Amino acid sequence: MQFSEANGPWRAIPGWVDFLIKSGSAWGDTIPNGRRIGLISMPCESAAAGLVALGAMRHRLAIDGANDSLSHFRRIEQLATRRDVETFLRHDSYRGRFRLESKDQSGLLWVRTETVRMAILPSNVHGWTLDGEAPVQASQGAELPHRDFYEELMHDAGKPILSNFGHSDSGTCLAGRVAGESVSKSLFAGVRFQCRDYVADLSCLLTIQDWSPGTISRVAFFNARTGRLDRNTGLTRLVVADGHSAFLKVIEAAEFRNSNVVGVIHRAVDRDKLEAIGVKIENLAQWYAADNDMQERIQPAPTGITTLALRRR
Amino acid sequence: MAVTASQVFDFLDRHPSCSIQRYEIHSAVFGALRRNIRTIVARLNEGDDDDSKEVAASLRMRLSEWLTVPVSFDGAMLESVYSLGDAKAVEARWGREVRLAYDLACLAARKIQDAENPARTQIRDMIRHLRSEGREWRIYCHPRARIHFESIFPDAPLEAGAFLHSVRDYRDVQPFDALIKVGPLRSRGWGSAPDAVLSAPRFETLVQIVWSGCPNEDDFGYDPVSERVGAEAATGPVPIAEQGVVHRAVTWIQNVIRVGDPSDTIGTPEGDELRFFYELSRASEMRRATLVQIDEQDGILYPPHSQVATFDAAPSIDEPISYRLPGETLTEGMFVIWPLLGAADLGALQAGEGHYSHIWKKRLREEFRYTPNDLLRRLKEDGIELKNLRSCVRQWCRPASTVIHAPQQRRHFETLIRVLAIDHDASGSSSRALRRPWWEYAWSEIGHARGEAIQSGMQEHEIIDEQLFAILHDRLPEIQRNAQMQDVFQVEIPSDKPLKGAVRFYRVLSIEEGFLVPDTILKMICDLDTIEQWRV
Repeated sequence: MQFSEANGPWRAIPGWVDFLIKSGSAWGDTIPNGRRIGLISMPCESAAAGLVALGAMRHRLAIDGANDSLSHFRRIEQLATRRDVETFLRHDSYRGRFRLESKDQSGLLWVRTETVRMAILPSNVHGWTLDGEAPVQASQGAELPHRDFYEELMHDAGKPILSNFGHSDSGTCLAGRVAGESVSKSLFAGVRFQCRDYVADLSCLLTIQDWSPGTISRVAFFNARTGRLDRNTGLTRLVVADGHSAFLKVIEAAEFRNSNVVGVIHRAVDRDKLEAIGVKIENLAQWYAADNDMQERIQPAPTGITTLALRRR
Repeated sequence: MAVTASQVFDFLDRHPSCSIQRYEIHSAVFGALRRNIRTIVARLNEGDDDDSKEVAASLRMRLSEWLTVPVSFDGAMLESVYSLGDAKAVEARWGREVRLAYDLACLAARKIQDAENPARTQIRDMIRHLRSEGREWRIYCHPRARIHFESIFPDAPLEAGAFLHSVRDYRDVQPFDALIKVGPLRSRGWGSAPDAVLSAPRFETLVQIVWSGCPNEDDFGYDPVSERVGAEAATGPVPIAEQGVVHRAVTWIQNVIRVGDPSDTIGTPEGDELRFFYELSRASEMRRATLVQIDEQDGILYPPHSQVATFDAAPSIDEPISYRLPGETLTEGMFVIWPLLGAADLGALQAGEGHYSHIWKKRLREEFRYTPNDLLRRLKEDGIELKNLRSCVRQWCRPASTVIHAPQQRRHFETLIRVLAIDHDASGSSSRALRRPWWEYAWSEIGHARGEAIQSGMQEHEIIDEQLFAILHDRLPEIQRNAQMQDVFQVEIPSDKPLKGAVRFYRVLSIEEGFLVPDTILKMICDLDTIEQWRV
């Protein structure tokens, strides 16, 4: 596996990249027995948040059943009970947008266009996709590409499970820069991996719906600028926040109150921004204690990177 | 090209420890000047008299500059002390103690001109040495300090890329050998530098040239995640921020070299004027602010967390017109949107000399041209005790650019107009039709150009902005065209719209934190010279 940044020469994966991917994997591996909050402090601007998210995604690829399939029907059921918003779905075979209706008296879920009305059943739910979101399950032949990349990224981790390449997963979420989604994306696009003769950049490997449309997505995206989550499944276990402002937003966001959060910041910013993070850490101290187990798992950090791990008391 | 993370980590791998060469300059004469100016500032600040505080603020600004910038030891220092007035006037106004300090400061300011500023000597020697060794070096300083560094090398100009002026410059720089920094390491205010200089070095050696008695800020190099650089061993409970930390920051080895006159006794922490001034400004009712520089001479100060109406000319941006946070979502190169609502005719890209400004500026220019000393004397006698009054008046004479240049304080403007003896008759207007004094109309005109109308609650911000944004969205192609070609431009609001007037767009040249300012100056266009006094 080779690595290149900003069109630089190909080289072996450097220590800092390896550290961030492994940290992401470790953070993705936490048992949900108390919310965890982490911070990774970088000495410079980088694609570090994307690499941490990639590590967390890679970890979940190796977990059997780590996908949104089981909850998909339940989520549509819940949306059908909401009167405040209209929900539209698309089907992988039928054209058009279908409006979701309330359950009927027999408990069936219906969707309709102007001309057609159809029932959604647990047995056929995977053919239905919420409008604007990634399909929950890929159609035959449309599974995720770059499988070798994910496998090679972490030799010593469990092998990815094949079926996961065909299912979306919202267990990991990336919160983009508050300056805008495009800022995060362009930084990640500059980080490339080469596996055998193939090249893929980080923005592709993260499989974020808007960046790689038309296939399943294994990392949800939270736009820290607009506050929009690209799919609110309620299944997010880990949010990786890109930058100090995104971290401060995510930590307070209702969508993520039960999710673990890792903020990736860098230190080449004004003091006010650093202090905002420091104040937040001090405030969290009322409810959180040092998570020494996690801290040990992610060490040693390369020179220039500092880390902090906290766990709810 | 901006530095990549790989380059930074490769550098850190090669340099797990870095060094600080701290050249600590001692000078008995400069020490005396510092001590006595500090005494004057402290005494002038004790009273309730606004004029005295203004004089103190000017002196504070001067001394802060001398401590953090390699200025020439020339007559300007003496002139700064003389700005208080003559010795008798000083004693009559502020008492015996201030008079004594004034005399001693004058003496020192005269004597100091006998030799070159040793900070300049050190910089010259250091850069010659670095050049001869073929090493890569940079200077970190405020953009306005650059000229002083350049003046050290009249025959061998410094390279354009030799200067770093902001955290953004520092963030983008490729690793190099040595960073030259004058003054203590502080995160805010005069001589400030990014904490990353210590917490994320891009260089092997920090060459720090500092006056004695100017220690670095205790927690400079702050990293919220790691143990603080130089923190002493905790004897009490360990703060939570440090409990879960493994600190892998670079190790710093400091070497202090004492330079100059050993009889200087100011080298104690008590002699730290920068800290003393910071505490003085904290004691007053000031608010933290961020400076958004909009042209070479003007800027706008915004309080923390301000949502500023802005335009981003970058292609394919989702919301080109939007509220943004200075330094965060509002960055250099974007445009500040500055409504001039209800403005009758303020000209194209200039504030323009409106009806009133045209009259008083013409009178002022005449008086300043033919009887400058008499004018300055009368202004002083009538209560304008500004330091460098001469340069202030020169500034007020300038034709309008971004704003109508005029005194910042309403009281000073009233005095100016009184001294110029302008009233309704003189201006040719009918005094019967005008119920307020002439100067008030002229002051309103100035305020309008500064954007005070927007700030004074004359309009409801959000409603106005909502309507304004809708109008601007309709004119987006025109705005984008202008933004490609100009740093400042103006878009007229069509006459059929509910809002009347125009909207000016200023390209953001820089954004800088570290100011403590009075409320009255926030969100107004103000000249950078004036703004300097509020730098912490």
